[in-house]
This record gives sequence, C-alpha cells and structure tokens, in this order.
Amino acid sequence: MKLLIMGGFLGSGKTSVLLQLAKYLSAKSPEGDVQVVIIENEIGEVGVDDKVLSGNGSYSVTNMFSGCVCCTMSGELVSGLNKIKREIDPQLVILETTGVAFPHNIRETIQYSMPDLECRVCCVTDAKRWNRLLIPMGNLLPDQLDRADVIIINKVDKVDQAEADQVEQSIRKFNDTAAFFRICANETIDTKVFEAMLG
Amino acid sequence: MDTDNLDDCGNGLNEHEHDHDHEHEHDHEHEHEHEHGPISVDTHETSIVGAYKLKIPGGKDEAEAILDERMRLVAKEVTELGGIIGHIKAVLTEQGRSVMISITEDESNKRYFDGDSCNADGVAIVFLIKPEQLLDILNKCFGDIVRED
Repeated sequence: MKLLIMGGFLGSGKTSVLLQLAKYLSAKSPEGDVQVVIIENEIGEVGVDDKVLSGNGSYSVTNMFSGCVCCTMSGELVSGLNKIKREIDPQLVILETTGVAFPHNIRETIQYSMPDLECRVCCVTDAKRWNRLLIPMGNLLPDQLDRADVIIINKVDKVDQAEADQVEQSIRKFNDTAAFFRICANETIDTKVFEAMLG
Repeated sequence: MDTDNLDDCGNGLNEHEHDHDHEHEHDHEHEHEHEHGPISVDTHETSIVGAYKLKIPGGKDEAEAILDERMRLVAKEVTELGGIIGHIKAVLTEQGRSVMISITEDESNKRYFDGDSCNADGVAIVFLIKPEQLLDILNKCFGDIVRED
C-alpha cells in the first residue's frame, strides 16, 4: 500500500486533479486490479467533495468530516489507514486534505506511526489567485508547499505566460526541489503529471 | 462503486483516540461556538467555516439558478466586508423527480416529471471576517430556504 497526500489551498483544484487521476488509474487497469481508496477530509458540517468523487469512478471513497487530519484527527487518520491496510490493502490510498491543512505535517504523523508506508505529497496551487492570496494567507500557503514532492500550478489558462512564470518563481522560493507542472485541470492532464505524483 | 463512510462510530476513522502525541509546527485550533441548525458557523484556526442545508423550491434548473445567485451574494457580502474567500461550494440534489412508464403492446413510453424541490448542502470557508459576520451573511442569503432535517 502506498499513500498519496493531495494538499493545497481551498479552491486550488485538488478535487479536479483527483478526479482525473482516478480516471487515469481506472483506464490503466481496465481489469480493476489496481485498488484505490480515496479519503476525503473536509472541514465543515457537510461534505461536498466526497459527493462529487462518489459519482465518478470505480474506487472507494471514505469520508472524514468536521476536523482536520493535520491535527485534531491525526489519530483517527492513522487508525483509519491501519484499518484500510488490514481489511483492503489497496495498492494506493489517496488522501485529499482540507484546504487549510499542512500536508507535510500529515506525512510526518503517518510516518511516525507507519514507518514502512511509502508516502508522497502533491500540492496544488492556483495560478490565478496566488498573488492575491499570498500576503493575507502568508501563514498558510508557503507552509503547505513545504517538502512537497510535486507542485502543480493549476488554472494557468486564466493567466498569461508572464504571470505564470512569475507565480512559479514565487512558489519556488518556498520549495525549489519539487517537480513542477503547469496544468489546467478543466482540460485533460498529461499522464506524466500523474506518473510524477505517484512516484 | 463503493462508497464507504468510515466516519461512523466504531469503525476506525472517527474513534476519538489518538495513537500518540505528536507535536506539529502548526497546531490548528477549532471552536464550535455557534448554533448548529441548518445554518452554522465554526472556526478552524484562522478560517471561518459556514455550513448550510437548504431546500430550494422548483425543479433542478430553477433551483440551480437560485442557488448560484445566492452563493454569489454570499461571496459579494464577504468580499465587501474585507474578507477573503477560501471556497464557497454546494451540492444540489433534485428531490421528487419521477418517471411514468407506459406500455401498450410492445411499445414503451417514458414521461419524466420534474421534482418539486431540490436539496442543497454546502459550505462557505472564508478568512478575515468574524464568525458572527459570516453567520449573518448566511442567514441573510439563505435564511428563507433552509432545510430542517
């Protein structure tokens, strides 16, 4: 079992990328022999993304509401991952974090309890809103990028080339070691992005 | 396709136990201080998290238009107060859509009827305004179409 943590700020496009990743995995394994479990962690009294994901594909969707696995629900996440490993043992678990979570914290927590679990972090960013959000969300956006393996700059169709370049430069100040990809998640995403996410 | 909700008690993900104490650089704070009805507001660290459960009269197209308009109004009000919008989103589900199937000889006809209302469940996650302000905005924008489950 391998874990992919999908992080990134609210509205950056995590669910849109995840939907295409799930389709890619389904197409790659038409016999259905690649088992995927998606864990949706949402804050708030009601879940929205889990309903979107539940109607789109041949995978299991598990919900974790009303708390962030980054902190208050970290124990529940580890318990849940152990249960999934014990009862399903899928090839891949994808955790879509809340838009205010710090993915690297989650990875640290999991690796503390499950040191043998291979764990990758992908962070999705919003090219259109990056500059507008960076100052007011300065305590959140940069640290979400911390030690991410892959950084996706989404919505590049909504900015011009110069702004996309400037946004990438800005993001690289916080993490210059990740693999970078520019995408528009409303269009078909190149499979090399998924391969990088999965490692 | 399976949809397992492991959030139910006793199955692992919602057991209120922690395997270990593990310190993070970012300890999120949560407060649940506002009434939990069809419209509620909580805080999660610096984010203000509003949730709403609605029953919107009309068929899917009409309800979709109403919901879209009201959600845009929430965004406008938050922005006018100097807030930052994280995400405002909702799922709309049509209620009561029916189909009548009529067969004469070997011919089958189907007639679909629009539902009389739609349910919507959504969240508004914003920053830099007060929880009370978001609660006021949600009540103003959705107060007449809330759903009492």
